[in-house]
Amino acid sequence: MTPRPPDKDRRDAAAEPQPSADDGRGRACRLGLAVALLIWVVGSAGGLGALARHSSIPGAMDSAPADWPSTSEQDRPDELALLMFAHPRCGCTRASLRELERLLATTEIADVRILFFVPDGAKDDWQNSVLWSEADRIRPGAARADVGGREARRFGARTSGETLIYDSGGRLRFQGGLTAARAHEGNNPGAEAIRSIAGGSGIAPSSTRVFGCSLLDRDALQPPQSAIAVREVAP
Amino acid sequence: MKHSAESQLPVAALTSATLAPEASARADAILHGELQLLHARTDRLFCGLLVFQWIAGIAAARWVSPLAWAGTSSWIHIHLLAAIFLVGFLIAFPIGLALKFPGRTLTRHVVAMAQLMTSAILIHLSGGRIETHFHVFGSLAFLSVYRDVRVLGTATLVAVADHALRGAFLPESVYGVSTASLWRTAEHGGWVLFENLFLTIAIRMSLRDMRRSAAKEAILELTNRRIEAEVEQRTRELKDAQDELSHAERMASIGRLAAGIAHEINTPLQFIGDNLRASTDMLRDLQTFDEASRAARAELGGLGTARETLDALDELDRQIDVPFLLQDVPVALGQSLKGLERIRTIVLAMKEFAPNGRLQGREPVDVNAGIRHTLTVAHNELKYCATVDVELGEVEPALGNAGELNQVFLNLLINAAHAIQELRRDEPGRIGVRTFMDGGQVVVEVSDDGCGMTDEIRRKAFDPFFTTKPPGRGAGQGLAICHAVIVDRHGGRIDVDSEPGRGSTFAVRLPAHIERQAIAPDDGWAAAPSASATADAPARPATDEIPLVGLKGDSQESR
Repeated sequence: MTPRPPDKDRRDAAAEPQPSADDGRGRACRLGLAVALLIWVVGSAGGLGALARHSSIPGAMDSAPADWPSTSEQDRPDELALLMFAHPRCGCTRASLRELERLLATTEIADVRILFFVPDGAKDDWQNSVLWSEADRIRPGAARADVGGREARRFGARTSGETLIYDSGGRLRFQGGLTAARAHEGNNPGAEAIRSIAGGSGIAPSSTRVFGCSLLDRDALQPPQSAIAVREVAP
Repeated sequence: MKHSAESQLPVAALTSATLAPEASARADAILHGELQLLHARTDRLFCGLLVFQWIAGIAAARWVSPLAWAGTSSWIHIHLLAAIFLVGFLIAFPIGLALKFPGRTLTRHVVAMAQLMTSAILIHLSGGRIETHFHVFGSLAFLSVYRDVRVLGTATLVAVADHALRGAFLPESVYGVSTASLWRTAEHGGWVLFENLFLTIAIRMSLRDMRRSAAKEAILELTNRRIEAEVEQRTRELKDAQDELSHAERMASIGRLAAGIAHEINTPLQFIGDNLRASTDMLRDLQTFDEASRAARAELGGLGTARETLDALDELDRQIDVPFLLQDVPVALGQSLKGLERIRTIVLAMKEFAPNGRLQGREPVDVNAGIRHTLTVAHNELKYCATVDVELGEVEPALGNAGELNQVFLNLLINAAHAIQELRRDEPGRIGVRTFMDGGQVVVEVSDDGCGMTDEIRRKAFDPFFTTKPPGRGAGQGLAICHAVIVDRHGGRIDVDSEPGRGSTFAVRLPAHIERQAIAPDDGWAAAPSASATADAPARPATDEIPLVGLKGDSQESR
């Protein structure tokens, strides 16, 4: 093994003046570095921008039925009910569940149902996901299987994390997501709207954007109808 | 040794302003070198950190959101792709710079930008979790290792620009909320500046310490350089003094031996003078006889009284004894020539003993020849006290200085003679001189059957100024010079084996000259190793007139 030179020698060598960069090679080197630096800065900034843009693109969204669908296998609520449709393997939905947890910690909603998409004939591993456990922890007994995504279709939910609020009369009060961007926790208009509804106030957006994976297979999807539609409804 | 003024300054005062220009320039160079090394080292550290973050990001994305789903269909999640390719692209350039141009200014600024952009990606992917903002603070602290405040400036610019842009267009990705005012960006920027304030203070303090350390090192270097120059000068002076001393010792030896040498030269001169005077008288007689003979022949040519003339010639012949003259004149001239040859030998030995010039370099030395010359010079000193047995083997030349080695041989011989005289016995002692090869070394042994030494004396024998001789017989320098010459100046060694009352043996070992060459004997002295020239061995050449063996009776000189 080559012995490592003492620090003093390496330091003295480092202190020696660098070769003159005034020759043509030096100029070419500087130019090359400048071009590389420019490409790197533009490329990195562009990549960051693209990533940011992707996180702000919401998932597809259909209009939910204004009244509790009669075909639903879910019990019609006799009080304010919160339904969240989730894909058990969607990484972004973790943020939606955390926001739900924060929401339920400050808001009195007794009827909470989290419907996880489970393909027809799926094995148990679809029901043993981390998100399912998380949902059970947030509200025991709230997690339910939505086999084949039938309930999602009945309620017009297309994106994981989509949340619906129906009142005791079975009327739709809110439709949307609980995150402000894809997988981003934090204050968001959806949670604020639900708090407002639960608090008896009706002045809140009844629909917000949803960020998450698609609940249904692509071939089963229709073109989004109101991807970012926000409408005011009377309480 | 002189101390520089700055070396006595308190450490706190060691700034460029207080240093001498030379020390200040050196301190600047040392500091520059230290910083260059630090920058290069930190570049490498960041290489590792960036790669680690990249791998950790990929692992985290792989764990949190490996796939994007649409029902039962899935594909690689964009976060995982971003972790692999976007972060990979982000770190490739700074790593390339760190490997290709470590320590350069551009490298650390690009590293700073990459590190803060990594922070931005982390904050973004975490959904603006406030905890991930600590990555920014950690990155700034790590960047301060560069000890370059400007790097913190670059990093701060990237962080503030990222917060400002995303705060304006996608606030939830940086603040975790969908609405954020410009003040939020200002607040975050303020905290970053707050940390920068402490880091800047720390960097300045660290730089001051480094500068102080560089100044101390510069002073130390310059002081060392001065000391080295002084030591070199002193060493040179010491060597000159040793040369002087060695030369003076040789001259002094010759001076001490001068009486004996004069006697050695005077004896042949006397009989040469006698012979030449006798030859002159004899030649004058022959001239007289020749003149008478010529006169007789002239008379006989004039038919004079031939009988009377022949009688007169016979009478003259009887008086002059012409046959004797004709026999003795060549003998006298021959002896004179031998006497002259002996004088020449003595003069040559003296010349060889103390070669002209005190600062001779190393050269192959014929050790046997040196011993012969030394014996010639010391002949008169030795002949009345000892018989010298000489056994000169076939040895390689030694690389060294002939004059210095001759001095060593002389000192050992004189020392042996003194040791023999110390016993004050009636019969002469015995000095043995032997040369031989031993494992690539030329060995010269000088032994005597003199008084010998106790162990205590033997241990001190080579110490300068140590002597057991009475005042006037030695200053304690002889063996000390031998040791210095053999060990210090010739890379050899000198050993002594001694027993009180039995005598001593000094063995000098000298490295043989690399170039192996046969030593052609120039006379009968360089005998075969087994050919010992002793008193009883008639191996000594008949022409030799210096009776080194059986010196007690010098028949040649008593003529």
